[in-house]
Parts: sequence; structure tokens; C-alpha cells
Amino acid sequence: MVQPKLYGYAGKILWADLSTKTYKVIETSIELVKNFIGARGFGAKLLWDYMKPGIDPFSSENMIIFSVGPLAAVGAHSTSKFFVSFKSPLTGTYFRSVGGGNFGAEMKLAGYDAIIVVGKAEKPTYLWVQDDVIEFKDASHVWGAITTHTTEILLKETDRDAKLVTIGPAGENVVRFASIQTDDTRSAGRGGGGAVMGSKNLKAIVVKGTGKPELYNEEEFEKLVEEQLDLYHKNPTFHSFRSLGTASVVYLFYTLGHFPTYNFKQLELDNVERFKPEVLATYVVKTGSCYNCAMECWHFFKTSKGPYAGIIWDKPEYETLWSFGGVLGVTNLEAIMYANMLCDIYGLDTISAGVAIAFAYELYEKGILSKSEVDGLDLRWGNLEPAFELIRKIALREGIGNILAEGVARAAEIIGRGAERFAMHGKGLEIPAYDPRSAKAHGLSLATSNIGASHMIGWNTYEISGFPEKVDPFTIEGKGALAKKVQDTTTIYEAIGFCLFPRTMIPLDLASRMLYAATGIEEFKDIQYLFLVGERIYNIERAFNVREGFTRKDDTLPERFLREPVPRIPSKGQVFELDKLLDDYYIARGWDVNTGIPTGRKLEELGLQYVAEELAKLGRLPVG
Amino acid sequence: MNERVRIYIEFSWSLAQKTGRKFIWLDIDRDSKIEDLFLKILPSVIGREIGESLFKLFLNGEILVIVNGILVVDPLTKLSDGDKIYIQPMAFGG
Repeated sequence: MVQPKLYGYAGKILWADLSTKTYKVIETSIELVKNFIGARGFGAKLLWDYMKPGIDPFSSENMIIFSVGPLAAVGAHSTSKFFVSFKSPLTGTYFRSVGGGNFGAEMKLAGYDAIIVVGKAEKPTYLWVQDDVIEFKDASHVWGAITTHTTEILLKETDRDAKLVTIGPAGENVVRFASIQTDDTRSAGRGGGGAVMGSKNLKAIVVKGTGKPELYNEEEFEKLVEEQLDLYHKNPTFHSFRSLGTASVVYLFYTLGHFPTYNFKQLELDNVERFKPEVLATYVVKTGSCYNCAMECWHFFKTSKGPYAGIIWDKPEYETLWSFGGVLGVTNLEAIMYANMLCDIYGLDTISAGVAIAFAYELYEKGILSKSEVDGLDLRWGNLEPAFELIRKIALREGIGNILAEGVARAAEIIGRGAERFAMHGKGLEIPAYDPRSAKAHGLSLATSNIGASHMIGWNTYEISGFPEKVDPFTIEGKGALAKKVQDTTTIYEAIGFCLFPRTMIPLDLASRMLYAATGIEEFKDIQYLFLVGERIYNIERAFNVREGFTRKDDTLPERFLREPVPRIPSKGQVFELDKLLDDYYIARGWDVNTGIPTGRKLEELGLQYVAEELAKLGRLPVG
Repeated sequence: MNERVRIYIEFSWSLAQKTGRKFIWLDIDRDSKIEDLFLKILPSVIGREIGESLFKLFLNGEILVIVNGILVVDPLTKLSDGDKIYIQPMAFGG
């Protein structure tokens, strides 16, 4: 059967096998497009279809998939993110990590909706993709190099205008939270995608494209992009992002009970005023943006005095200002900027790295780790100097760094002596800069997320920003349905390939019209259909984890959140009521309350009968 | 004469630029509301036009008003002695 012409999409998927140094190019099927839209949706579906259950994430059988959406590189703003999907070495779950910059658009221009890499190269290798010419090239000369040097050398020997993703020494050393870097300072940071690349001896993927996807109705699409820009410019959020990006909210979120301090002990942070936007803004020297994005939320900071003087690097975002700031009791902005740069060049996720270091600081404070066990470092709250050494040790797997490189969950098992009480993670993923006790639906999302405790899976605007309507963050009633609603909506935006920062400025109605104008696919005109797809993707991700053995018992958070009341306002006295919230969530999802597994009926309702059948064969589908 | 109470208002960076004030201590009538703050009280300091403009943004959820660490969306919320109010454009973390 001849497939109808695909508009908006590149129309092809590149499948590269590092073991055999062979590749194939397959059509992007209309079924895949209609049922999963693109980007995150493609990653989830391809992992479900092709990943053998139970494999070691570091085995050659793991897959790493780079995918983009139908609006990438076609003129819309904030729509050219690339999504990286794989089985995570940190969580053992399905994972999706998201990167900005220019790589996603270049992939699309080269003719690919997705690049799938499987197998393991015999020696360090990089993939060089020029439209339909694919080469497996030797990367021995850049193996061991930091990300910036690798970028410089590989672009020099390929094409100065090419775009790439690369790993640093941390990825090569399979640090379980190694990042994938692009454009020097942008990261697909979370979940250890860099370690999966490292385990495959894959140093980088370099892409150069000269094509351009054809749109279904270009004239209409251009009008809609104008409408998108108009909405941006009218909205104070746009100007806030343009002025300082996510750094503008640090002080605000601290006052709202987030930006947790001292490894989530949540004590008052002295000098927190250092994080006010007017202070941070004094460091900005230039701005930049991802491919075709009017938001321009990159802000390069310059340090000009003290021991860290002379750095110009993209600013630490909200999360990193926290992971090397509040969570360690640090307010020295220049030191945080330096730590951020170190993580980028070694190729480390700043959130996991900072939380792993905070874990070590608290174990040292409690006497669980002695000074000799932390290689003679004096891990005192508020002092970031030892953290610089820990970053290096983690990346190179030296001394205590070799244990922390496993992530806090595994590190706690190795250390023992009660260390697990201070390991702040959900399903093995280090918890980001939000306190589940200060926003219960947001916390529920951290507990239930299919990729572990990620804040971006269900960032709850209702509770945190009061948008589109305010919901009391401390109550638990109705929070299951609210968490589900936000998770599914987020999934739609990510299946289209949108950056999540401007999502409140782009109503789903506009997103739907843009999708239709780009692709001509009738179903995409219906917002209810998009919600169906969002829920479908969320459920197939869940099913992936069920197939790996995950159940309700894994939807949990550290004891600190369940037992220790928050000591500071506005959340003073709050704990996280896990069991009640989970029951409510599973009911809202139509999942089995005892196991947290989607029921056969729910899967069928979402058009996922084949998923239900496979889970039934494995004996994992709930009865009834 | 109405009893007076004292409140503290701080404007976030870009709003401080817009209003020309970073922070203000104000004596107001007890039981004044958020609505009064934007339409009656602040205009004497930042001007009527900016006060009304901020109030519209507040109603549309485009600026956030945080009173003692709690996000406030109801314009009829009463203010109390010692309240610390932080006003910032809507923004998101990530």
C-alpha cells in the first residue's frame, strides 16, 4: 500500500547499528504519525516496539533515539527541541530527556524525524550525517576530551555549519547521570543518556542538512506563526523569560516553599536575596536562543572578580542555581556559575550532580561518611569549593566520586549505615528544585512520573503559578485528576515538539491549528483527539515500565517528605500524604489502584490493545 | 477615622523598572483589599495608569501577587498589618 504524502514531517527515520557499522532508512509511517504525533511520542512508541524487556541499560541492546516533532525547522517558534529516549541506567525505566539549541532542527533539515542508534562500536566512534550520506567515523582522537574541545575538533573536521550532540568524560566513564551536550552549553541532561552513548562508544552525532520539509498550507501556517508571536509579545511571561529566563523565578519560588534548602531539610537560607532577579541580571553580558525562538532565554553571565573571574558561560537556570546553590546552602553566585560550567564541559546533569553532592554533604554532617571516606574534603554546607573537586571526581570516577557517580539510590546501598534516609530521589532520579510538600499535585507527579522524579513531566502551573486558575497547593482533594490533566497536556506539547517554557502562551487551540496547517492531518484539528494521544503516550510509557517490573511500590518519595514537616513558611507543618494521593491518582488515570498498572479496559480505550495483550502474556495485566 | 496598618510591597525586577520603585512601605486602612491596593493606594505612588494596568494583568493571571509566601488570586483578599507583598510577572521554572 502506498503511503500518503507526509507534510510537515521529514518522512524518514535513520536506524544506525554501531556493532555492524550499517544503517537503514525507513519511512515515517502514517500510523506512527497519527497515533503518536512525533518527538516524545515517537520515542515512546519506538522503545515499546523494539526494546527487548529486561536488558541492561549499558548493554548493546539498549536503544537511544533522537526525535523531533512536525513543527521543527518549519518556521514556528520554540518548536525545535530534540527528545532523547532510552532505557535509563539511573532509573531502569523508560526515559525521555529534552535538549535545545540547533541540533533538532538540523536533524529535520537532514531529512530525519528520528535517529535511532543501537549496538556498540568496537572503538570510539562518531556518526557523521550529511543528508543521506551516513559515515561511522573514528573518535579515538577526541575520546577523553571535554565537550567544548570535542565540539571544536569535530566541527573543524566535518563542517563548521554542522550541529552536534556529544558526551564528555562523564559519559565515557558511564556516570549514570551523564548528560548529552549540544551547542556547548545546552544539555539533554537528565537520566543518563550520556552514559548510554558512552556505553556504546558513541562520542557524538554530527549532522548537516540541506533539505526543508514541505508544509500542507504554508500561507496559513505563516499567519499562525504571526499569531504565535503576537501572543508572545503581549504576555509579561515572554518578557520575563527574555529578560532572565528561569533564573527570574528563584527568589519567588523560594518564597512559595520551593527551592528546597540543605538537601531538602528546608531550613531558612541566609542571603537568599542574592537570588533576586535584579542581582542575577547584573551578570548578563549577552543573550542567545535555540533554533528560531523569539524567547531568546539564553543569558550568558560573566564573572569579573574573585577566584572565579573570567568566565563567560550560559547562566545557570533555576534548577542549577539550586543544585549548586540552595540545596547545598550556597549563595555565592560566581561559584555556582563555575560549577555549572564544569558540569557542562565534563558532561554531567547539573541536577543529579548537585543532589548527589548534597547527599554526600549531609552524610558527612551526620558522621555517616568520615573525612577520609570523602577523600579528605571538608564538606561543609555553604562552601562550594569541595564540590568542584567532587564534580571532577564523579566525572572521572575517582575515589568517593566513583560511588556518587552511581546516583544517590545506588550510592546509598553501597555506603549503607542508614544513608538511604538522605538519598533524595524518585525511582533513582535525583529530585529537582521543588518540594512535594509545598504543592501536592506537583509532588504527586514527581512520585508517579514514568521517568522518576522529573519536574518537567507534570509541572503544575495551577498550584505553583495559579495558572490558568489557582488551586490550593496544600490540599489533597482532587489532586489525582489535576496531576493527570497536567501530565497529559504536557505530553501533547512534547509530542508536537514544543519547548515547555512558553506553553502557557500557546493555547492548545493554536497548537492544533498549527499542526493541521503543517501536516494536513484532519485528526489534529480536534483538541480532544490530541488529549487522547497525550494520554495514549503517557500510558505506553507506563506500560514500558510495567513490562520492566515497575508497580505502585515504585511510585514513592523519600521518607523525609512523608514524615518530616516543613519547618519554614509558607509550607510550615506540611508533609506529603503519599498513599491517599496515589489512590486518587490511579482512580483518575483508570489504572488498577492496588498495582498502579493500566487496566486492559483503559489500554483498549486508548487504542493500545497490543500493549494490553503483551502485558497479559507476561502476567502483568491486572485482573478485572 | 479608619484604623491604619502598615504593609510592605516589593516589585520584582522588570516590574520595578516599570513602576520606578523597588519597594515601598505603605500605611493603609485596615481591611483594604488587593483591589484597593492597585486602584486606590498604589496610584498615589506609581500613577493611576500603571496601577490600573497592573490590576488588569493581575486579573488575567499575568502577574503574580504573593502575600506572605501565599499566591493570591482573589482581588477581594483583605490585607493585614505587617503583610509582605511580592509582585512579579508570571514565570515558570525548568
